[in-house]
Formats: sequence, structure tokens, C-alpha cells
Amino acid sequence: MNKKIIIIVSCVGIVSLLGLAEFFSYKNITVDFAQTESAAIFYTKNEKEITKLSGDGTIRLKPGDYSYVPQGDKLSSNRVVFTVRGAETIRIDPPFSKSHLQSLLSARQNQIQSTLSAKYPVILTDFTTSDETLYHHGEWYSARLVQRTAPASEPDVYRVILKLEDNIWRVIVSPRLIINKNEFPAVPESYITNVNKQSSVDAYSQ
Amino acid sequence: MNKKQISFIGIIFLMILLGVWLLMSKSGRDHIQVTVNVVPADASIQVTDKQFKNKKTISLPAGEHQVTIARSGFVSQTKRVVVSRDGVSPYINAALQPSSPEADKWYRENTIKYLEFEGLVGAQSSEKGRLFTDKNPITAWLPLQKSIYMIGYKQDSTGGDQDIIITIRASEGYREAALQEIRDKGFNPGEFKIEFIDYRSPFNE
Repeated sequence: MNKKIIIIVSCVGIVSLLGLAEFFSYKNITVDFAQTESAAIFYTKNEKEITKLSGDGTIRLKPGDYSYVPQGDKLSSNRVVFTVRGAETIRIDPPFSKSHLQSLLSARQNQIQSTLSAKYPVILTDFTTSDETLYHHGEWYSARLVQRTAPASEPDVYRVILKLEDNIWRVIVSPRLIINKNEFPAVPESYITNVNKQSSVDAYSQ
Repeated sequence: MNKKQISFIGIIFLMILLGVWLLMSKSGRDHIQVTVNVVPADASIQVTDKQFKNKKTISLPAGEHQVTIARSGFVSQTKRVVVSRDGVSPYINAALQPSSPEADKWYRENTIKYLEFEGLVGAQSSEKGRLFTDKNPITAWLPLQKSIYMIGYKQDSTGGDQDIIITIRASEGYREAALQEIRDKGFNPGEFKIEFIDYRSPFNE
């Protein structure tokens, strides 16, 4: 075997090895959509589009940081960042969009108000409900209860959180002046932070 | 004694050694080193049924201990010492005052030791204060008194000795303003245990 052949064989071997290393560096990522009629566009860390999936499927990605943007009529299109370390399953379960949650709120408001006033009748007479918000898929609710006061008086503001379980609204955090996030680890922190903010309403302007 | 017997005894001996070592290392983990700073240095330190003398550190289990420091001719001191892994290292501080002519002579000849003691206690105190403020930066501007509310803090007896509860004294309608003051200072009131003083919730369940 002359030198030329040895060099060619070596080069082919090295290229093959590099090819195999590249092939095996990709990991199978199984994508599982929690909701039908949803899709997701996947991006690299530098926001370069990789692919779009419109249903459960598998994509091959190298370990590293990626993101996806959910798509769907009722869904929030907030970007979600994830890290690939090995072969794994990603469950795509984005919350509903603000507009869809708002329309859900209109439909669910009566039931929520009935639950609250049945448990705390004083709400009907002494409080105004403000900043009502639904979260995730509409199963979490928070509101501020602003004390009705005489003109020129400042109101006390109470915060309350409910959750829809088995089609029944349950009070998870009873009305209180401020919610301590450590006291309610089962409630997503962002919901507590949101309801703890300063009230946007003056009681006597109602 | 044949080789087999020697090997058997050797193995048993090694197992006993291993057991003792494991036992000692376990009890060592349960105990915490407590720095001793007493004057006179040879005063006896009584912690429940154990007595220590001439020690720079002693090892005590976590928890609350009644400690008595005594030396003949000096006024004894009894202290409550909380030993915990949180915050600063625990310590026993005591500078005994003389109660006899001999002790008084020793005291006058060793004034420098009492000065050194004061210096050490001061350093421990400022270190403890620094750690407390680092953990609870909100306390740097508390207590805060305004015409419509007062915001303070107290130790949280259900937590560690560095945990606090924010206290708010405000009449109806001004509690939100006090919470807003906390927000305005750059803190999230939802991260604190907050107790409203002289307050009753209107939501009776």
C-alpha cells in the first residue's frame, strides 16, 4: 500500500469518525402537546428558527439552550426557554392568552362572585371587587377587594385567590391585606405577586 | 493461636474500631462548636451535667442550653445559650466580677484581659448585626414612623434567630399605604411575614 492510499484511507476514517460524532451528538426530543389545535416554533439560543411542529412529534437537537413560541388561537405566545441535556420529552402546555382569559372571566365571573359572597357576605355590602384576573387555563382566579369607604377616606385592600377544582370554585387564599408567598407554596408565585400589587381602584370612585 | 484465629480476632477488632469511628463521627455531626470567651479563663463552665474548664471551644448539641460560669471568689453567671447552625457561630461570653479580696487583686492585675473580652464581644456583636442586616436588608430602614402608620419588626419565634416578622401599626384605610411604603423601598411585601397590630379581619369565616 503506498503512501497516497494510506493518506486517503486515514482521511476517510477521520471524516467518518467526525460524521458519527456529529450524528450521535444530537438527542431525540419528544414533543408532547397538551392541547389540540396548538403548534410551536422552535428556535436556537440566537433565535434562529429550527422547525415548526403542529402536533406531537420528535425533533433532534444538540445539548444546549433553545426556546419555543407556542401558537394557537387561545394560547399565550410567550416564548418558553428550555435546555437540552439528553434525550427527553418536552410537554408544551402554554397558558391561555390574556384575551381568551378575559373572555373566560366574563363567563365565570357570576359563579366566582356567588362563591365569594356566599362565604363572605360582607363583600356584597362593604367591598368592591377589582383587578379580577384568571390565570393559566382559567382555573386560577385572583382579585382585590377594596373596602367601600366614605369620600376622601382611603380604603383597606384585601387579596383573595380561588381555584376551580372539579368544576367548583374553592377559596385557596382567604381575603387578607397581603399574601405571603411562603405560606402558599401550592399557588404559583407569579399569581401572588400580581394580586399583591397596589390596587388600581379607589373605592370611593366606584 | 493459629493464623486463622489471629485473622478472625483482627477482623473483629477492625469492625469494633470502625463502629466506634462511625459512632463518634455521627455524634460529631450532631454537635456544634461553641466559642468560649470567659474571664478568668480557668472558670468552670457547667452545661447541664457536663463541666468544662480551660477550653477555647466546646462541642454542644443544637438547641437551647442553660450555662453556668463560675470560679471561686467571683460572682457566677448563668446564661441561656442557643446553639444553632444558622447565622453566626454560637458563643459563651462571660466576664466574672470579683467578690473576694483575692479575686479583686486578680482583677486589678488582669484588667487587660477584661478589656480584651469587651473587644471580642463588640466584634461578635457587630458581626452578628452585619449578618442580620445582610439577611434582612429591610431592617436597615426600620422602624419607620409616619403620622398615619408605623412599620417595625420583631424576631419570628417560629423561625431561626435571624428570621423576622414585619409589624405594621396603622388604622383602617392606612394599611395599604404602609404596604406601599415597603414597595416604594424596593421590597416585595409578599416575601415577608407581616403582622398587623390592633387589627381584626372583617372576613369572619
